[in-house]
Amino acid sequence: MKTEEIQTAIYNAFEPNVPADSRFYADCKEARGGSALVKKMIDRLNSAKNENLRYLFTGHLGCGKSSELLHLADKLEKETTFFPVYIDFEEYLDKQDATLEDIFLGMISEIASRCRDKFEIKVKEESYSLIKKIAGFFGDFSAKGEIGLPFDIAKLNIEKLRQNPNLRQQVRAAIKQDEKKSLFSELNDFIMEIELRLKQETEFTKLIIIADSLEKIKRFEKGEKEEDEIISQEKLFLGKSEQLTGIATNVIYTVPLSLYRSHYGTQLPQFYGKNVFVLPMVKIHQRGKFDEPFEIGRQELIEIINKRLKHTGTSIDKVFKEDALEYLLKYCGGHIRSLVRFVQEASIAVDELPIDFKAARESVKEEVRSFAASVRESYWDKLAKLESSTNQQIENGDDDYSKMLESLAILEYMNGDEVETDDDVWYAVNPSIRLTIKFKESLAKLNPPAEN
Amino acid sequence: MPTESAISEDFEPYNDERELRRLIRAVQFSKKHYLYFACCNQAPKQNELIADVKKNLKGKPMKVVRFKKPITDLLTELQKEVIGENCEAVFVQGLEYSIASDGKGDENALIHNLNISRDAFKRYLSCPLFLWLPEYALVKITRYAPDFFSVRSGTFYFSNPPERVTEQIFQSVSSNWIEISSLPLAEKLKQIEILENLLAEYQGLHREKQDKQAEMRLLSNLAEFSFSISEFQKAIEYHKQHLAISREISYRQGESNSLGNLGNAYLKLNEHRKAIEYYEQSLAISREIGNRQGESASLGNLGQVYYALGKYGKAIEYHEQSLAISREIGNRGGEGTSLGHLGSAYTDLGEYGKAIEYHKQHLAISREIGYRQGESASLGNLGIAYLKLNEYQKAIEYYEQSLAISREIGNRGDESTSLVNLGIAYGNLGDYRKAIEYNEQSLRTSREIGNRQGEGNSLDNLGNIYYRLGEKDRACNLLKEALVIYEAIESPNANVLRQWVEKHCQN
Repeated sequence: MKTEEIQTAIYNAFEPNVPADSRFYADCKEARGGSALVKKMIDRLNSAKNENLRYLFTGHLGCGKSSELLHLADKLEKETTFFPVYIDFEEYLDKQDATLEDIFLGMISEIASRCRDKFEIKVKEESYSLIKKIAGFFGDFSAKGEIGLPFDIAKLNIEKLRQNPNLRQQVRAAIKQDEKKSLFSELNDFIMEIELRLKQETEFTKLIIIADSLEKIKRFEKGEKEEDEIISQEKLFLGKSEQLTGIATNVIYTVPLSLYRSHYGTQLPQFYGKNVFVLPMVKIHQRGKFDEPFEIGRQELIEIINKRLKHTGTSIDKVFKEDALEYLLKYCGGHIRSLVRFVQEASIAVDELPIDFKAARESVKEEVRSFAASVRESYWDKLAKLESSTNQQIENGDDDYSKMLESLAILEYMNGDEVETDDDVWYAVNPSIRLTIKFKESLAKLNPPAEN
Repeated sequence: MPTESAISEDFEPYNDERELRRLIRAVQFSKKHYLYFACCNQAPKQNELIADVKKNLKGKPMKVVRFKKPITDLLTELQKEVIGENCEAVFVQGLEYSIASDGKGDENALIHNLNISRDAFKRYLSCPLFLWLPEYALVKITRYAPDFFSVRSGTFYFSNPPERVTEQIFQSVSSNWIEISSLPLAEKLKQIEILENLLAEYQGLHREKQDKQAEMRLLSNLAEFSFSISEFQKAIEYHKQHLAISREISYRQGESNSLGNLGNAYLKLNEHRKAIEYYEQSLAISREIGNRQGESASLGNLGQVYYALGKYGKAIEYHEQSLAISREIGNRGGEGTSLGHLGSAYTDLGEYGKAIEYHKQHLAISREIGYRQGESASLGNLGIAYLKLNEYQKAIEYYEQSLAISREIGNRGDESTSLVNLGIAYGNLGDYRKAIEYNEQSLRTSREIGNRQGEGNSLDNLGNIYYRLGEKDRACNLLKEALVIYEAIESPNANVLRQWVEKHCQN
């Protein structure tokens, strides 16, 4: 292959915004318990028998949650009797204007289309008057002449719903008007019928809904009222927990890490039980010691890069100069999306491979500049405080810290896998932030040089 | 603030050529949709860069979408533009029209929609998308559309070359106070943002590349815009920087101008002694260098301080001198202003007929030369004269006209004055509810902009109304508060009020 072709291949293999598929999935078991989490989830499902399990799954944006969930779905489908329905709610919701019913509708659509595509299971529409009515808003479904299609309110229609606030209002009004049936109860009836059919017609016995991207729903806003239908993170996971836990099958919900670590977060286990799984950053340096690398984590990140390079006709030593690779590994802080983006960016900073140190710095520089522009003035001192702390902890009730977790200014780590308690959780300032002037100034202010 | 200076100094500085090469490679290598930001402050330079990209990648179909007016949903607009087109890169320009430099980014419709549709772009666009933005707009997106920003594949930063910065400064500053102060508020805020960005970029330039003339133009312009929206402290900061440079390069005229302007800002903040000091220094320089217009301005300004201190005779003397010079050198704006000031002094001396005559002349000149602030001031002053003549309805009409103009051009100082006056007029008409409402509005505005005089007046008026309504305790508390302020700023109202309070507010 020509150099340019190789560079093109590398560039497109390091696409930061798409979760890793089976080609790219790398299990960071040792440095954060990736597959251990998946295994634990499967074990608990298998031993739960007739009880419906609720899992909460959390971690930073871009840390690889979706990749893990897709991996989980893949394993479940291949190795268990639980039929996974993975739903990327980003495709179904307007994050600023979503209701609980929108979520139910997304579940119904995805379950219906998955079961139809995979097993040709179609359900009698007569028993689901409300769903049928909603489907009516989307027009010509019946033209396709297939019985059972109303369930499959195809994604194209949902897209309309997501982007058209008027249509959304109509659908919501219709759901509200119906006094005899609620969408919640129709969803549960539907799930029961589907599970019955699964048992009769397939090797699967139960469903498991994997509700991804729910953590991207808007945060609680001042002035939000109890009776508002539009949900925020807090309202959904705490206020509507009764409905969320009342869904008649197994469900995994993704919750925002910032919510889980806020003072609301401590209430979550009351509602959802103890099945909370946290996917931290890949531990890349020792706790509180930025300059002491954690070799296992380093190897796992290299594994991620290798997996992506596999189909590009080249190898890691031809792509990176050693110091460049080390720099990128260190400054991504174990955040996988950043690492992938760094490599993608560095690959266009050189005329020819390998990527040198200068090019590696170039990609990190972009991230540093973005943080310098977006970190709020009042956060710098708190970042410096975390950096100087001896225990690498944050105040869980402090909303500022929770916002910094959300924006990745602060990263969460765990000391190893198989961690059950939160005791081993610790935090560090995003390495890119260390390279901003403001952070250095705040740090100097906090630890003034000793006077002689 | 340009964010380049916010990153650690051991990074290599940005280099346009390198950024352009990276950008070209990004277009070349992208086989699907990726999102990029290209940060470049000037549209002409953006055009040049895009032309360079096209030249380097001949044969690649690329589409440029340039918005010339605000849009709210980029996705929808792009769908209209690129649907069915065969392109391997889309460049979007002109988004800054949709992203106001003032106000909060989280209330901006475009930014909101970007943030919620972050994943939708890849469904409709199979080629890379480059959003070209000035830095302030990029920072807004970083802050207020973090989800959208987080899915980027990269950002390219292009510099504003030094010659461009100074060139731009000369292009973007207007030295005409009448024009500046007459602009609508939103336009003023936008200008301030642009000028502040320029200043920051200028300050980032290497010393040799700096041009003191340009810097001074920029500083005085920023000061004037700040003054025009009643941000007096900010104006003082800029004028002081301007003063320092003028002295450094021995530019006497500039020195005199900044001294005079500092006086104006301190007068607004009711620091009369400081104001007099600055005005006198400015006057001395103007006379020394034979700057008649400057001399006239200083004389008028001194007249204003004495007016504020209640020394109306002295004030009239100064204004007459100033008026004579303005007429001699044919400065219509200065002439109008002097006439207005004379009118106000005669009002306070009880010569209402004469006062109205002067204010009407001021109004006519202001309208003739399109000086909105002068127009608003003369209308307000006419209102005051008619109020003194007990013609309340007429007074209210004038105040309302004046208020409308002040709001339009964002002159919050004059806005609060009109509000106080409306409060007084309604009080005299016995409509206490309205009177209280206006005075409370004015109180809030005055406090926000640090106008102590206005604050004192509003408190004084509110006290009066509550006294008339029989709420004596409440009235006395308000009046005592007003008295403290009057004393602090040496208001001529202080004595009268002190006597009144001593007589009526004994516990």
